[in-house]
Amino acid sequence: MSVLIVAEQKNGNPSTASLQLAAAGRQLADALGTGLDGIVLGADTLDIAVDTLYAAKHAELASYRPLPYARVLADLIGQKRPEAVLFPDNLRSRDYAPRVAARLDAELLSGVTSVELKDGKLCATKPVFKEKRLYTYAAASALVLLKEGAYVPLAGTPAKVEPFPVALEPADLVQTVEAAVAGSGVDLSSAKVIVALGGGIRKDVERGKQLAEELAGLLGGAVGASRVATDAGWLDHTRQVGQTGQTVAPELYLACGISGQMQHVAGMRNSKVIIAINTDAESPITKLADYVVVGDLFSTLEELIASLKR
Amino acid sequence: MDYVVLVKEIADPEGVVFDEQGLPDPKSRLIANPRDLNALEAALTLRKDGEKVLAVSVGYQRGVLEESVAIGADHGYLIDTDAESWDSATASKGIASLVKKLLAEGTVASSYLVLAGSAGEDYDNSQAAIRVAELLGIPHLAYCETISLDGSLTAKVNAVGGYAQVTSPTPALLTVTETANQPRYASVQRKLKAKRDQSFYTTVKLDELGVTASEKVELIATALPKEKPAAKVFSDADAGKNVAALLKAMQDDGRPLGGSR
Repeated sequence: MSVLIVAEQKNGNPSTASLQLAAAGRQLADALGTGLDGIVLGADTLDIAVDTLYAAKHAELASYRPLPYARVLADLIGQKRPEAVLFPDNLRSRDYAPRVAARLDAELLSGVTSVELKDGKLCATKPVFKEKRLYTYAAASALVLLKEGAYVPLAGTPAKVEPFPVALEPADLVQTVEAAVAGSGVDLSSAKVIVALGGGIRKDVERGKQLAEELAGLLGGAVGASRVATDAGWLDHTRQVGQTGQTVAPELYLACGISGQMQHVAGMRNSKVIIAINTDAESPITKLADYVVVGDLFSTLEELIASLKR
Repeated sequence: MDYVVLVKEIADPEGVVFDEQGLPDPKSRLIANPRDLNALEAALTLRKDGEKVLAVSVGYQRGVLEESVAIGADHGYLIDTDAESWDSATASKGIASLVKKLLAEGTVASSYLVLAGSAGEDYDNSQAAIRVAELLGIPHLAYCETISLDGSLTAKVNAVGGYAQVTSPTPALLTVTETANQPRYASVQRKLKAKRDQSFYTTVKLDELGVTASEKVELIATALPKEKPAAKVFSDADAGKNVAALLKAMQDDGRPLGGSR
């Protein structure tokens, strides 16, 4: 019996989501009375709080492709047979994890917000029907894609690092993936504060962007956007928060002129504090927000900037 | 190149009604999973003269197949299961088994693509399609925005931190996002024809495909999401007053803007 987490690294550092996996995984492992192991792909170690970290380093894993990732993970999971495997829930895991699950004939639960042990079974809760209900599923064992923001990150280092032999087949190498065709490649997931812009800036796009940049700068944060704003070409697609963009859970999320369509909300609803600035007091975002400023977003941003400069 | 499009009928997430147990009421309005229609649109756009577009669905009703045929699919296959519930793993086994059968009998050309929506908007499982790719032993490309078949298969896909350009051999499976295209509408004539003409459809029982419906995952509880306390609203006509009141409220709540600055 064991619990395994699939840790992600960027420039040699663990992602915030990976630290959250360490926290969730440790809780689960303690409940099971077993150890917590981890795997990192494309690196020879990582600062992550697990007992044994399997490091799968190989030239073909230097950049991401689903088939080599699926091969390595299915090999490790097939060998170790952990009861629970936790992955960060993002576009990447949703790309390779179903392949791993099918190869092992394993169950896979995605979009999970909490995972625990109950009556000897693995229980995972996830929102369904666009967050109208929460469903809890039980299984003897499963692969679980855990949403970001559900657990407090646990930092630490592995007690032991073991290289994991990578054995790729020719069929794993048939695709080429060139990353980031366009865009600034902004990683919003690690930003503590996000100032996000939506359709409400259409009156003066440049001014809106300038104000958001300034406020984000003062708060040590980054500028995000809704799909309305990225589809219109006002902001780069890589800044998009939402179902097809990035999932974020910052300390503070300022939704400026964003109506709060489900698409967008799915990517930011776990933010700790949400401020909505909107001319429409009834827009859906106001139901999610902690604070709502009803009014012109340009003058509101100007006032916020002025007060922070005081 | 032939195209197999996976389509799913779901309770409309916008109008779904739940019963006392928190399960979707069978009387809820059923719709085609929106992103599956993006996948169908992608197939219809790629298809050249003489190539087939076949729709495949797992379930017990063929409404989504009628819609697919009305929109432009040549044929609809319903993988029929009487089982009360089945999971993504079971569905993907049934679909893979049917595709293998269609390939073996020559209904689907050996050069083919499978397309599906990038996730179901009901349970957000987002896995059946990619499981099918693994079971068929073909590569997959997830979250496709644009797809090109000039010479080789290439796609611009959504990836962490932006886009990626993927080049892949065929056959392959692609999942398509809701921003990839604008699905076309069916004409009224085509809708009527799709409804009346039984020759458009084939029903195959899941067990005839050598698959037993199973669910290793059990739904044990349903709950309403926690309601957030109502927001504090500032709606003074004067932006300065609004912001001052907002900052004070945040200060009072112990979470001042700008932290401990």
